[in-house]
Amino acid sequence: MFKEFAKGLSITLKHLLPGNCTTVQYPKQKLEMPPRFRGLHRLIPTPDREKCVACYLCPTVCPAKCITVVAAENEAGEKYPAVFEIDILRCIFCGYCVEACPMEAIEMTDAYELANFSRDDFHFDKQRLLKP
Amino acid sequence: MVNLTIDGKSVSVPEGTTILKAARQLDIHIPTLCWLEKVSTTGACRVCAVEIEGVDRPMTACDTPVKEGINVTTQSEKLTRGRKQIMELILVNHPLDCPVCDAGGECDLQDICYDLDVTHQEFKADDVNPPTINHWPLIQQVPNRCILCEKCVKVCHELIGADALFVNEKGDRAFIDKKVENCTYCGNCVAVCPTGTMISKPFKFKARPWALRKVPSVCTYCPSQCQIDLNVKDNQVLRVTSNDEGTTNNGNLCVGGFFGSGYIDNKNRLQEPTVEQKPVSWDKAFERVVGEVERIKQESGAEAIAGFSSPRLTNEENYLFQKLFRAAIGTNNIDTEARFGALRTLHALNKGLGLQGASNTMAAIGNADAVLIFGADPTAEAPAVDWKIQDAVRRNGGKLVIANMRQVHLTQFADSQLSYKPGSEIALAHGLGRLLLDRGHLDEDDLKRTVSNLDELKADLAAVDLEQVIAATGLSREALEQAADIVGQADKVVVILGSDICKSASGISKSAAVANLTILSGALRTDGGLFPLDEKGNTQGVLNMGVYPEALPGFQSYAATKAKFAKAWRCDLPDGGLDADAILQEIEAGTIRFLYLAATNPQNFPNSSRWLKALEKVEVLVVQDIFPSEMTRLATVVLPGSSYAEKSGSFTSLDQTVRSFNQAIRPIGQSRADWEIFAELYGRLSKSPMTFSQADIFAEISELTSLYEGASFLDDDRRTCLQKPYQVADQGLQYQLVSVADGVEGLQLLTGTSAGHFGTTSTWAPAPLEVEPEGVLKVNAEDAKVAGVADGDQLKLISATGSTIGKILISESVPQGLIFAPHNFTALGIQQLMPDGDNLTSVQVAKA
Repeated sequence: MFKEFAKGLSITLKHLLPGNCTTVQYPKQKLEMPPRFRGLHRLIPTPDREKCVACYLCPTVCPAKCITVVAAENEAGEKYPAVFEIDILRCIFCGYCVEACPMEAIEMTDAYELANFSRDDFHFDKQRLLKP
Repeated sequence: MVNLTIDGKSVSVPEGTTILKAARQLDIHIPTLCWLEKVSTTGACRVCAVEIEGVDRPMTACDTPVKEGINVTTQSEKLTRGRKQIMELILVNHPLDCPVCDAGGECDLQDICYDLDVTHQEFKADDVNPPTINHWPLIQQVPNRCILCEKCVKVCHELIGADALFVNEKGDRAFIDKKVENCTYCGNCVAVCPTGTMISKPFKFKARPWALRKVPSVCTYCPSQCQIDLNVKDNQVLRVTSNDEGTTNNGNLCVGGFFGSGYIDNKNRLQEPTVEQKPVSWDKAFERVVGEVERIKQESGAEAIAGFSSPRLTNEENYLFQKLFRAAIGTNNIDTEARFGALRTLHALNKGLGLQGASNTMAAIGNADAVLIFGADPTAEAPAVDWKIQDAVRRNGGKLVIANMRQVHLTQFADSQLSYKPGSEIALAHGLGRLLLDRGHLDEDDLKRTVSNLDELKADLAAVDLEQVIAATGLSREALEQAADIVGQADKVVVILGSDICKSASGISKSAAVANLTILSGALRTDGGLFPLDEKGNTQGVLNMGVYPEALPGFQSYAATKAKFAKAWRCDLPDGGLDADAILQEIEAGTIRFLYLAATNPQNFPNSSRWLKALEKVEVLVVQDIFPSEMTRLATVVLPGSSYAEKSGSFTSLDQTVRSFNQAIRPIGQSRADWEIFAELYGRLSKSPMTFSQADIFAEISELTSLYEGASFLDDDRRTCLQKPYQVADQGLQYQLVSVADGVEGLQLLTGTSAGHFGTTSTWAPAPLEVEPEGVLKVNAEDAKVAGVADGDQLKLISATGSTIGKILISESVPQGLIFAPHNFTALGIQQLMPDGDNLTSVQVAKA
């Protein structure tokens, strides 16, 4: 019995030695996310505007109803989103918006550090979503 | 009947039915793209191709009539392949811009592509890529998206009769173009477009169709009361649509119905109650009104209080209004603008024909053999009536006679246009009556049965001097005879009379003359009809609810039935009561000290400057309205009411059909539904809180009146209450003796409604205003030459009561000696020039 006990303890002690730890030392160390990770959204810009044309498919498909779009017409007569806002507190990061987008104008990044101090900080408007 | 088999099921249909309609009877779905039930068949898209046994190639179901014994197959592999190819060909250069196309989500092209699983493009063609047409007002045309189904062209030509849209160019360069000057901006091209080719600019990019909540409602701009759906999102009415099925308007709308809802969320709407022009709480505002009523009652009695209600308010609100004044305040000094129009016609029709409005439902107009329009422009006053007339005349072989000083939109379809001299309506009616007799068109037996004073009728007709009629009306004998023959030879006759008659100061006698003509024409048989038009939405409702001193609800004489109502309402009802003219005089005399204007603006009454001067003298003026005006500036207390979209209620149409509608959005700002305001005041004044529900009011009206006896209620979205056609009782008609008035001399000014606007409300809606931003004076070229003005110049009009300056449009539609001006624009202020309660006056003109 003592033999088994010592064997078990030695495994535990071996893991305590430097270099053998499995826990990621967050925040000193960060994991690299897999390419299909669904983190914070991003609107893709084009040189002169956002790629989004305000077709309303993402707010339609969104199961959490966290996307607000208001379409408008710009000087060139094109449809564009005057308002594009995601309430991240409501978002369930399902990625349907990305899937529904006919323009490939929205993607999900690997950003997952979304903690913040006030509720307003969780409203991501168009300018914040357009940031690289 | 023809028997045929479709997909193994046999069906029997009348001869001439198309395969498509026969299949619909069997609930077999055949895809269509260019087919639209309400217009003639185009047969352009060929998506509806079906196989017929024994016929080599597929046939289009939409325009192939059935034949005895044929065996039709609607679904087969070959057909699906063919249909798919047709779609691919249609789509060959169709832009893939569904994300930015407003039709996305309600696009027939999208639907059929999904149904047929069209996912590939096998064909190629040079892309002409025509540019978008953006310079038309209110409507954008994107030719890229057009499939040339021609639905828009057909609706424009066949149903509206506007002749604006046409197919320009040929082959792959063909596109829908427009003669902009002919466009009436009814928006029906946008409504029927199966793709996103015709786009409504006011609605463009506002919302996706699936995000809109459709609330069944009734258009309240004119008395035709088309059945509409308010498309609502985020407490805003974003657009108005109408269904083709189950509506009296067949899904057609006019500029007011389609584009006119913009006034509802106009930024200028009154949003909070004010006292002495300072914003206050509702409680304070009510306190002030109640306090003033009680003070003035104590000092001068309830006779010093008067009120005006409005055909813009619902039946329930008008009922509450008269109950508030009669029962809670204790005065019968109530009236509406119907005093200057519809009430005169009602008076004459009631006396002569026993009618309290139209004698039949609007559907009768579409089936008429002859339509006689007397002093009306249905296109402007009630557009849906215009479409029904076009149904009768252009599709069902009916004839049209128009007696109008001006040439109107319908003149192009008329068999006879009688442009009589201003003021000669009675002479014309007499003349036509005499000619009906002379030319043997009278139904003696019917007259003997129905007319109580046949001898008088005959003596009166015999006394008519046709030469005098010809001189007075300025019409030729041939024209009169032709018109009389058209009316006389027809079996089903419809008579329509309008504002030129009823808004005239001698409207009672003019209406009586038309009533006489109606008797002679046989229009009161059950399949014909008499339809008085009034341009305001709920004028019939106002009359039904007894908002005039002579009658209580249900056309019951005030003096005679007062006791019954007093008992039901548990109060004493006052004696007497002043009408609008008397109220004006009493205000001027200083005896009326308190005036309540509910959705009424006397600035639009004839002789408006006299009204305005009088109102400045009123001690307490309470204005309940939705927009600021000269009245709200003068008002002691302003109570912001609400539009029909913000409340529930019912309206009565020109053919006495009652339709209910539900609240679609919350009231704007702090405004309240008008019935809530009346109910609150009633509660505070009578010291007994008033509970209100539409059902309660309806029950009360049904108990106290016979308005809805014999009516049938339809189980639809609008709880439609349909009246039965009027049955003339034996000896039920009375021929009224009307003496011919003297003709008028010199240049005349006639007021009426413009075809692009409805009352003054639509001048607060951006879209109709874009098309018609100001009131324009229509002047004949000869008169313009005399005055030395050219098209677009400013002209000064001077009458006995006032003067104004307006832009002129030289038009052949007005005869020499007549100027037409719309009364919809407060800025033009044409009503200052009119004599009391009149629509015609002598004017002098000068270049401004």
